[in-house]
Amino acid sequence: MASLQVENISKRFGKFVAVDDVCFEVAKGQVTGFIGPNGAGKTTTMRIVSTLELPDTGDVRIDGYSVLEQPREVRKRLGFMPDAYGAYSSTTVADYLDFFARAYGLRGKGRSQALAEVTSFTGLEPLLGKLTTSLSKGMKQRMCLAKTLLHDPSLLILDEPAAGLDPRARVELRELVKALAELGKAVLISSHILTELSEICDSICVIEAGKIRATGSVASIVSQMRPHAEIYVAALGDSELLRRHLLETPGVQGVREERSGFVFDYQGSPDDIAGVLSNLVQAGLRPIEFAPEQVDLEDVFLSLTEGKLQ
Amino acid sequence: MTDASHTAPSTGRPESLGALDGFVDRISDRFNPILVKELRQSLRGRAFRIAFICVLVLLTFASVGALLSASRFGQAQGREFFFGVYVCLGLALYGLVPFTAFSSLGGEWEENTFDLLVLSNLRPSHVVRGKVMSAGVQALLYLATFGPFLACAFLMQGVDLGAMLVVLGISFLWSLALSMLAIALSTLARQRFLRIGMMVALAGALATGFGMAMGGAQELLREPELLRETEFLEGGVGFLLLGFFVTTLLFQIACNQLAHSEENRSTGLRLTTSGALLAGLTWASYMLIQHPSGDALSAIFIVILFLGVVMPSTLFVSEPNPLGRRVSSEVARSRFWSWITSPWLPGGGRGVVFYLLHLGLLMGIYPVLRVATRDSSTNTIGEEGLFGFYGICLYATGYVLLPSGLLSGSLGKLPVRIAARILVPFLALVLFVLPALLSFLFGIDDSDSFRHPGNPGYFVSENWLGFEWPAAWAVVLVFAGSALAINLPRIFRGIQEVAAVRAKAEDSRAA
Repeated sequence: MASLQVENISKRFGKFVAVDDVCFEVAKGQVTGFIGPNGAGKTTTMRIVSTLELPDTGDVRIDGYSVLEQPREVRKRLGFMPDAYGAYSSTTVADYLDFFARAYGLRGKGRSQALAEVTSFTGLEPLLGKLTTSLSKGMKQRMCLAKTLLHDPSLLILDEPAAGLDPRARVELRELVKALAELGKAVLISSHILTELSEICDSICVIEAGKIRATGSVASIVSQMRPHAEIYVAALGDSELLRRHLLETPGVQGVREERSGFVFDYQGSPDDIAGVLSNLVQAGLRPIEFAPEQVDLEDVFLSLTEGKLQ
Repeated sequence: MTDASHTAPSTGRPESLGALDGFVDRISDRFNPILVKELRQSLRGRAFRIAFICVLVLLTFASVGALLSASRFGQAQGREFFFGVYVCLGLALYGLVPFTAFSSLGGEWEENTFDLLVLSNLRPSHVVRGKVMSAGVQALLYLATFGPFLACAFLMQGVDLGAMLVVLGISFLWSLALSMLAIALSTLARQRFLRIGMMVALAGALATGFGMAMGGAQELLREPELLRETEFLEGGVGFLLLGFFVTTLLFQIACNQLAHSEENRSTGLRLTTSGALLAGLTWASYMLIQHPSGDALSAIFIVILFLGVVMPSTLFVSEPNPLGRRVSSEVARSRFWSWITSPWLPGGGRGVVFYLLHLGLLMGIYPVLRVATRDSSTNTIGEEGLFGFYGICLYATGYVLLPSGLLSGSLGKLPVRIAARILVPFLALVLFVLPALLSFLFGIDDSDSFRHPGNPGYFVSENWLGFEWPAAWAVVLVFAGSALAINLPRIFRGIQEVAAVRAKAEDSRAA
């Protein structure tokens, strides 16, 4: 069941259309990457989902509750970590978390238990006595994540959580997000660091100029974008023989020389691709490299977006 | 979170304090989270500690100086001593405390924590209440430091203990009211450049508040027997009532500013206005019956009409007409209650009903009080004060309802809303000045250009017996009537909308 359902939302600021008929879902236990260039409408969408803004049209439902009509119910089920998260001055990490636990209505033992759980989960225990203003960016990020988890939300909205983090902190954050998904939470995460996202996301949602360009798993989007695979092959011996063989193979198109071998386009299933390789071997050619080209999130992003500025 | 271990967070405090911490934690569960956070922040922060020590040092110096001068002159110096120390305390109560409240709320935007508060279970009223309570606790801390000096002042003689205690009690309330003003001003300006403007306005208000407090305290210390005079006490009650409602109004303004534009930003203000009007009328009725005087009734009712009905209603009638998408859930589920409460729900059309109800209340009570107070005055607003007052009510109806009625289609836009509000006094001014100007320009009657129906003062002063000037009455009635007629469609839509929301809720419940 989808934890988050974004139903055709649109939002204008004056004449500027920030979000235009956006519609997607995030299922429980799934991490969805929300990617798009600057000014694409990511933050506005996330703020609408988080009840901080209202859409001009459409609605968002979290566990069935509407952000328009039941914002209080939505907030109980939602954890939002904004890109510019705040930390109070003259406040220790323990006091900061304690305050938000109280603000979320946690009392007595329930509060102590929630605090213990989130500090343990985010590894903040050694830092509880420190002032929030003395924390590094990565530690502040953890503190904000701990705050976001205090009321045990079923949906997490993380807006650029990896921005400005060093490589170690990024890896740690990635592990935390994975762990949260394993706990059954739905996660919507935006980031410009696409390599990070590709490792944790089950699906992505690409937005540009306020419109959704594509949504689904990376593999399904790639197969929609490129119905044919691009394969590099190199073999020992006569390269001309290899070229001729490829040209005669059904389904092979656009054979071109590259490095010490050839690249060709092939339309077919993974089984068919394996068949091409075995044909090469049976034909007496001695392939030393046979590599369908890997399409990563960055390629998907660049193919889907045009770099339009709004 | 189900897989994490259940270790208690270590806060770095000594273990001997563990039991005390537990007790404090349990007690603090009952408090507003903002209050707990603010107090912890203040006690940990440098600003409060420095300010507190400075006030203490200042108080000590002032008291030593007063003691020395008392011993030199060998007379009762208690009052001078008390007042000297009170000035120092006033700097904290009417300066530091409200200013801290102002910057504390401003900090929520500057430190990017406001969105985090919105996302929690805290409502705007919790946030504002927490900030005010925190200011109150700080004020109490400053007042507590005053204890030894108070005893000293009493021992030095020459000062009335009752007066001192009343001054301190009112000082606390005054400090709270000024802190509320500071918080309300803070919510009006989220951008830094606007905050600077608000800070200047606050500084002016605090200086005035400080001056008023000092003047009042000096008066009361000089003449403590005032406290035993009935008229002074009656006036005091009136002043406290006024202060209470102004502070509540500021509280509602602050809450409204913190709420989302599609949330209910009107009901609190409307309820406060109704409460203030009822309290004001009760107090005025009591005073008029106790101390009947010639022309007081009409004058008081005109003041109440403008302060308690016209001014707040100008805001309500110019609200956008729809309920707001996050207000629908607040409509009463029963048909009866949804009808009764609809004038207190947001929306310009319902604002008009609100205005008419409150105007009706004033117009209904006025003749009753005339009889009760046996007011048969020949006063400044007409021989027959009744018609004079009703005439003023008609003018007020025209002024309040005409601009927003004409602009009702575009009240969703902020500039139009502001224009509709500004147009109310502007319309009154234009109707007052324009005929005079035209008659002056065209030389129709240059002996007294302001003798025209656009001038309410002239209208009521000429209209001795109510119907001696039918043409003027006709003009005023047409003016108020057309303003009302323009608003009828949105009144109808406003009531219909509430009924539709209630019916929808009923349907969904049935489904």
